[in-house]
Amino acid sequence: MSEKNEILLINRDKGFLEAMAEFLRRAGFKVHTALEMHEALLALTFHPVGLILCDNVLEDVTGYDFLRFLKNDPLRDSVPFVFFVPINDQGRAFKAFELGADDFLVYPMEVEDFVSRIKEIMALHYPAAKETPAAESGKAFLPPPSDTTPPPHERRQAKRKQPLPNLKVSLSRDEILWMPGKIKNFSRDGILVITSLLGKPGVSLMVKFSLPQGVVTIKGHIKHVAFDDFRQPVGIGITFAEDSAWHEINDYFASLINSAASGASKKEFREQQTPPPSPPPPGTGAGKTVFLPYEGSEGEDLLLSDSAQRTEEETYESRFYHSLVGKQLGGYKAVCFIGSGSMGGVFKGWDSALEREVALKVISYELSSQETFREMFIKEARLISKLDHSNIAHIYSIGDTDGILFFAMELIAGETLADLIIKHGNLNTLKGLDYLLTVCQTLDFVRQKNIIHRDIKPENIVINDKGVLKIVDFGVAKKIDVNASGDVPEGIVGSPLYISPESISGHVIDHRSDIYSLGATFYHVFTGYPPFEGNDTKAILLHHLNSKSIPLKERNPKVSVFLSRIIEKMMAKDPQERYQNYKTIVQDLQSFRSMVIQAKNKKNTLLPGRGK
Amino acid sequence: MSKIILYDCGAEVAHMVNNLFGEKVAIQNSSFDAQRPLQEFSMVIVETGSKKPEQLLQQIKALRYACNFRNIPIIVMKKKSDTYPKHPYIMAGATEILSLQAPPLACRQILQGYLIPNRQPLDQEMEYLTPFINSAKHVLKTMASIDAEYKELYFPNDFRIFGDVSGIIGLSGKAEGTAVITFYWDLARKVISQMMRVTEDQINAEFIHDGVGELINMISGFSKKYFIGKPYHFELSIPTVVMGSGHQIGHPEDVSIALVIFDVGKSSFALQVCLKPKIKKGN
Repeated sequence: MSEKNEILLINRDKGFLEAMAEFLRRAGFKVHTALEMHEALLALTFHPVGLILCDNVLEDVTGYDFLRFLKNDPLRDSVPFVFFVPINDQGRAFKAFELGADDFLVYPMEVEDFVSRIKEIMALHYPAAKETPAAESGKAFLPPPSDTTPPPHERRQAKRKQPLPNLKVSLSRDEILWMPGKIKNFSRDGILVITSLLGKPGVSLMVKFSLPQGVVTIKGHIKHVAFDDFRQPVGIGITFAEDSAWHEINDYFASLINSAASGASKKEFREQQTPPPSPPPPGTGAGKTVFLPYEGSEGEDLLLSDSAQRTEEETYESRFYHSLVGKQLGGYKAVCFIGSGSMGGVFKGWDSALEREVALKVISYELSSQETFREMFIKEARLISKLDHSNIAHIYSIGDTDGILFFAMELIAGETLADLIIKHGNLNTLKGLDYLLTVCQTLDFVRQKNIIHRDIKPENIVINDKGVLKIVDFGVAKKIDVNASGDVPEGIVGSPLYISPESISGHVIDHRSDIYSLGATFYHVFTGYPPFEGNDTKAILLHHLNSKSIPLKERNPKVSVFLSRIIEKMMAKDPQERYQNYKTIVQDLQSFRSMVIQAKNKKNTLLPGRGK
Repeated sequence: MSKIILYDCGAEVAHMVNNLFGEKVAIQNSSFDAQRPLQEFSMVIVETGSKKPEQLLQQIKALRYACNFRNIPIIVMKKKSDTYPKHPYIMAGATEILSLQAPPLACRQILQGYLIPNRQPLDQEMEYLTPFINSAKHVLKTMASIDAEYKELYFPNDFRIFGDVSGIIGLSGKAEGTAVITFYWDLARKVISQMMRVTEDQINAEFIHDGVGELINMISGFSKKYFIGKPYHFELSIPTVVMGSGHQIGHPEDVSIALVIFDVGKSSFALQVCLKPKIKKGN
């Protein structure tokens, strides 16, 4: 029997496979069947197959993977390949044609029509062996959503293009909204891109390429659009003007092809193919980027893989906060999510009764599920709400909606000290010194109310839009009972980078614990480095307990010895060796500040003309 | 009382959901039915394992369509042994994938979060949403002789658009943001054919591009004139048309994103608006 009569039918549904095979056998074909690629390759090895009819999903791989494999196999790449797919799971016809499929059939289909189409395809590929009249033509192989441009396989007769799989670009019509695209091939005139961005011939658009030498954005025009399934990305051919920018890009593509052909390592090639996504140039349009990954794009994969790397607990927390966006929490509306910390997530909220913006802090599911924590939180939030100080973010109220515990507090728009450290490296300036003085004076006020903050860190010190410093997040603050003989420790509370040794070791703590955390915070502020670093939380905590921090002067030679001593004294391991109150710290800081001002004035006097 | 429907879920999932919520929610277990309207339910839960992933993906897609743009979370409960990736479920329209082995407290809080009622818009949000709502109705009426009825709006916690075709326009100037109109295919064809004066079977890529792009351009353009001299005044960028379901839109940070649903007969379309004045009012 000649190969023109032998068909390989591949489908993951065994019942369907046997039924279709039977119809083809009755029509006079010899049919081999396979559920997966492995079986299909065996059939191709042992039988002279003249046509492959394949589903787009097999037991082991996708139909596209199988087609790609065959087209790279010189012994089998000439076997006609037809996708035969269910109507509700069509996959991507365009992709199929780009990979070299000869046709694309969709079922359910009348048996007669199906057999006729197969005979037609066989006659087309083996004209000399035409035995049976071809079935009536005129039936489209793809369901309508009509297309003004020729179907992909017709265009393939145009000037041969070089395949360049999976090289990513960004496309935009307005340079604000950028869509990802994957280049399928290129020629001297332009590129063919698979993207969700729809266009029409003649429309101009910007294409952003990430080359080794940097990001290049050039203007192109849509030459043609291939659109065959409204639920799938489209293919658009884009042409570029003959200029140096396009030549540079074209040369780069050519070099990729050459390096792949000359046996460059796969890794190197892959790295070249997937340049990192780059932000749009600032100052264009609204100054923002709107990014739309499309189905199956690597942008999605990156997002998901990134989240997959986080710990399960963190993802549960973030998913919990995510579920609350756009919800009504008691008398407050959760407008949008701002961020999260170890204790909870923060939302920009709206107080419906008093009609003002608030920050809503939702306590993490784990903490709010502990009854002791809930009780403590509610009791102490009441106390802290009474703290009336211009440098403290006020707590307005606490609430509980269906077991979700939250409190509303003053919304402060501004930058945290953590933001400023990132922005400037460090804040070893008079301004930084003033911030430390303000925090000391504020925490002294807090101490006088017998309250300790317990979570002093750069993230909890905010400089608002008017330049006013605010201490935020009293979520884990604690009221000290001065009459009690001994307070009961509650386990480790605080942030590992700044936590005091006595908190870690479970001893009873007082305001001197905040002094340690404040010292650690401003160690970070003045040097740009936290006092202790480690591979994990445990390592950092052990450093707080046992290690001496690197002197500030070594971290940042510009830090004054005087200031360095103040910070180091604040961070003494033994609370007895620390400053015992904020007033003494303030005195020392003010002395130091006077010295700095005097030195500055002296310098200005010695250098006339400066300082004005 | 919130109502949760469990589709084709086994005893383990039913037991878990019952344990988490007790009598606080009405739980109904049912066989999958793509035609069933979901408006009465606050949540849909499906389970992996009892069917092939591809089949479940199709069902999730059908459920997402049945939601008709409404904010109904679709939760997938996954067995730990199930190694099928989460990504396809999310792209198909699932809101959340939870493992049956996840800590019950985490599951409870996450599910509870989705069950909390949606908030109503703020007055200042309605200040910029109302012109968009009126403009959408006006443009549909004058351009396509279609009566669109404003049904509801909410603030989604998912930035994906589960429609078939979307027109997107960037807004910049005194205020910045985005406006997006999203249709399912059948309504898109109807609207564009009436707008372009062609029959539905003549609709092709070019008509979709021009029609959907022009719709969002006109809706935003009509809205714009309401904002002259106000902090919400903006300029329009060039509209972009996107095909396919499950796109994720990035918006400016620290601002709410409203999703407005309009009904046209039994079909719906959605308008997403996000607008943030660069200068605060009163400053």
